[in-house]
Amino acid sequence: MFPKEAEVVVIGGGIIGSATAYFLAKEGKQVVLVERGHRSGEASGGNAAWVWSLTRKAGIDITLAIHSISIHKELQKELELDFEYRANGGLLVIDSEHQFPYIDAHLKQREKDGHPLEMINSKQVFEIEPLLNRKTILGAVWNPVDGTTNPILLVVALNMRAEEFGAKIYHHTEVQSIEVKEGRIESVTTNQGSIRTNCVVNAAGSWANYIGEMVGLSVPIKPFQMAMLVTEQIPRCISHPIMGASYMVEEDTGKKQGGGCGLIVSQQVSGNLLIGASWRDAGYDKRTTQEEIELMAKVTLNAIPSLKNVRIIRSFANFFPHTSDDLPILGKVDDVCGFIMASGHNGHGICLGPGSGKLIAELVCDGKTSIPLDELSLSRFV
Amino acid sequence: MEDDPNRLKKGVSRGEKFEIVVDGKRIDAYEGETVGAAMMAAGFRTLRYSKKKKEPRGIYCGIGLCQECRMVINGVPNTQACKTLATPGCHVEFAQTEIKKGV
Amino acid sequence: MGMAEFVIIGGGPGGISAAIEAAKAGLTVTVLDENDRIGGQIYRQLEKGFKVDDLNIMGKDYKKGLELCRQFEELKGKIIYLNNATVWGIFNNRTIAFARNGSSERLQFEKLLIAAGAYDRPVPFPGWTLPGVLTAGGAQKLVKTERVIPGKKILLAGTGPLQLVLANQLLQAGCEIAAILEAGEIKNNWLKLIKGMWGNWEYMADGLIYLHHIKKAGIPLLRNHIITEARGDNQVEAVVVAKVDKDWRPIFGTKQTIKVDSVCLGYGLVTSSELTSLAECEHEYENAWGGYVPVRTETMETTVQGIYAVGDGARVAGSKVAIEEGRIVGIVIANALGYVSDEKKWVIVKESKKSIDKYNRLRKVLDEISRPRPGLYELAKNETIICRCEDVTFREIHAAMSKEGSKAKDIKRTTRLGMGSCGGRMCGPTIIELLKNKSGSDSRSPENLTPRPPVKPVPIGVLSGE
Repeated sequence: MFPKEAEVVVIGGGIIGSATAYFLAKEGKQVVLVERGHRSGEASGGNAAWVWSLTRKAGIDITLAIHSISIHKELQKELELDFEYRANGGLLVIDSEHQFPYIDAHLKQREKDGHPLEMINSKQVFEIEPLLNRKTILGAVWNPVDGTTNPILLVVALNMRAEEFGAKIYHHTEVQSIEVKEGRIESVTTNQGSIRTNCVVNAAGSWANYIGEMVGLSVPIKPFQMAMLVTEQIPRCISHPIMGASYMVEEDTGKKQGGGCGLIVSQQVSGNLLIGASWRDAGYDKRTTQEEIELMAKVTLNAIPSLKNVRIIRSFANFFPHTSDDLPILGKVDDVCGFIMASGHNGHGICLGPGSGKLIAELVCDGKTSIPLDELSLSRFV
Repeated sequence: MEDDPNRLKKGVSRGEKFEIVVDGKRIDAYEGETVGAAMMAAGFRTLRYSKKKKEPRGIYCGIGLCQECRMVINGVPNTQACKTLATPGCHVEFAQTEIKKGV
Repeated sequence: MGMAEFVIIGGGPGGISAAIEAAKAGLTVTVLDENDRIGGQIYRQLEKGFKVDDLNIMGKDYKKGLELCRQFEELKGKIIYLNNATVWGIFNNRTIAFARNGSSERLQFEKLLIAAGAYDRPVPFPGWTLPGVLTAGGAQKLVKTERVIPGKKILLAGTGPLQLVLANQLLQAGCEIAAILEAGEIKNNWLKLIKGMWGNWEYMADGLIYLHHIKKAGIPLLRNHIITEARGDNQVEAVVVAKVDKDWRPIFGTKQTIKVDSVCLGYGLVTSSELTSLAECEHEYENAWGGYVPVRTETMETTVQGIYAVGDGARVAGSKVAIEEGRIVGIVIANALGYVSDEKKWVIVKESKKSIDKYNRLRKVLDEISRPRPGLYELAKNETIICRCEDVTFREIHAAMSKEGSKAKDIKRTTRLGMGSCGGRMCGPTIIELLKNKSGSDSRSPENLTPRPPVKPVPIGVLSGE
């Protein structure tokens, strides 16, 4: 029986929506989560699977990440399902001299902010990850708190517990309109029926702008298409998430040119390597191109030559909800009472998801949050 | 040749005969045979152990699609035995637990 | 990047036939073949090293294959044959990505024919993953081209005439066949079969000869029977078989155990539709035709302009149909590119269509007899593996189906079914049928597991071009 009313309707069944629904249901709120597509949603169903904070900037960026990482750890104990969270530490590998100034700047910032990072030399790098290219890697930044997880299992685990707490979760259920009366949310209409509610959480990721439009809000979130490759299972050979330092160099990222490729490698508990990544200005096009598939393979091989014979079994691309300042949009909005933003996590959704979910639940239940959300408000874009 | 009961003799003649090493044991192979066929002929039916349950698996589809015949051939993991021609002295092993450096 | 007027993917009867027809008309044709030499599955040639001393030992199909190969060779000047080429992607409906000789290549085309063939339908039942249990196609390749027998005492289980072909090959090779199980209803369809065979004399003659050999050898041909279990410790040692009703469900009290050391499963073929899917052709679903089949015009063009599909990869109908469809595409494309007149085109198209219609008269009856019935997908028990790559059991799939509803992608996400190295080929057809049977849906387009490039595993070193 499709519910006719709910205390909170969460729109979007990826990690943000699922974490939100879980924490709300845990606090006894009557929650309905509606997801237009499949279990674990869109970006949460295919990404690098990292719980990563090394490249987060000083300020609210790193604060959110540290907070959320602690929530990942809590969830490991709270949720029954092992979602394969392994925090062995992460590496940002440097393979060109021109990257050092950017790394140094980042390290300084983080030090000042109270979240220091450690620079290690190449010898130390190869002790941690022996397969990295000894001819090209010059050193790395090491962050002991970073790691990998299995986002799909995490979403499944969050959904399961949420339902045990009374939440109702519906997939293949699309929101068609949101009814607002005198500046207040009245109901949400889906293809399965209407739900009376005064509180809506917009966790629709790369489609958050469409949901925003339904209540007359302009939400500046755009899809940022990113592709990755998956290898077949191989014996354990990579133990940490490894990112290339080109991500920290504005020119290297290719964001300006609308397309680019950087190094991301990690090995899942299942044994598959997730490698990549490549991005292009593609709107909502999920297709991967031959050029980017070959380029990602090349970048990976340069960094880890012994992967030469490892076979790629598929590629995938997803959309990360992009905001111009790389920060999510969290919190209440000025003009619509009851409408709460929880989207725009860029490429950091897996790390920030559990934390965001908890913060939004705090906001709904207590009216205040353990981390002030003012900086992350939608109004900052006006 | 009753000592080679799994190989058909009628109507077709084989080329060069040589030995390959499977899991440390030497077995016969002929020019043109795949590693998989040579193993089947020698009575080696298990080619790998399944991912979670570690159950024995052997040739299933035989045409390179099912990936059940993956072995470590000449040091290269995940090589399909049903598609790889046997060569004199080639080494065939079951999937390793540790990837070799430089492989 | 290379550019070709007419590219054919696939070196089986459909692809070869189209290449011959187009090359005869004067086109330069590029053929991308995964194998070392043309022939596909049915006309697979012997590897270098083997020498045929007695052609009769190799069977009718082999001889037919040699003839086609000869015609292909004669047109060498007009055919660019790229062997050992694994096509791993199709992009923008204009470019093919393939791996060959250790590097990743690209080829742009004006017209494309996808003749990717089919593979044996995976059917999960307890013990189907035991070594010694293999597909009919795998057994055929072992026996025909590698001259190795799959076992000493063999059970054939499946449906359709291909089983008789395999049985005869095994008999000729001197194997002992414990029994042949046919799941389909033959007796009550005798009249339809005879009608269908009218004009298809070669099929009929072959069928009768095969049946005669089988009878002469004293091999039990168990009609309306299915395999329900394979038993053994590290390999198959025995099977359990049962009589089935019209829905292929075992009839209580009919089980019997047979000692064997090899099982060949031939429950029909599944289309290799990954490439037509990547090319964004529209498909419809019909399990009797092999599952996902691209929607085609009368002249074999898919819903994507300039892309054609023939043979078992477009709809399972056998090599004779594949050859005729190939002819049609060859001449249609030759005409479209200005090499032959409309008149000439229609003569050949008409001729081939007539033959196809004749073959399809019998095909229709065979399809109906061998169409998978629900019982085929009810054999799995809780611990039966459904996804061979990821070791996902029926218990897990069943639980996911109860929780997730009827979309294959949801099941995939939560159980890892379809995420393995085989790209969902060994479990995709099963999950689609399980979901279909559960929902009772008659849908012509149940949502499939989406193939993403590379659709065959390609080493990183090959992709990176180093």
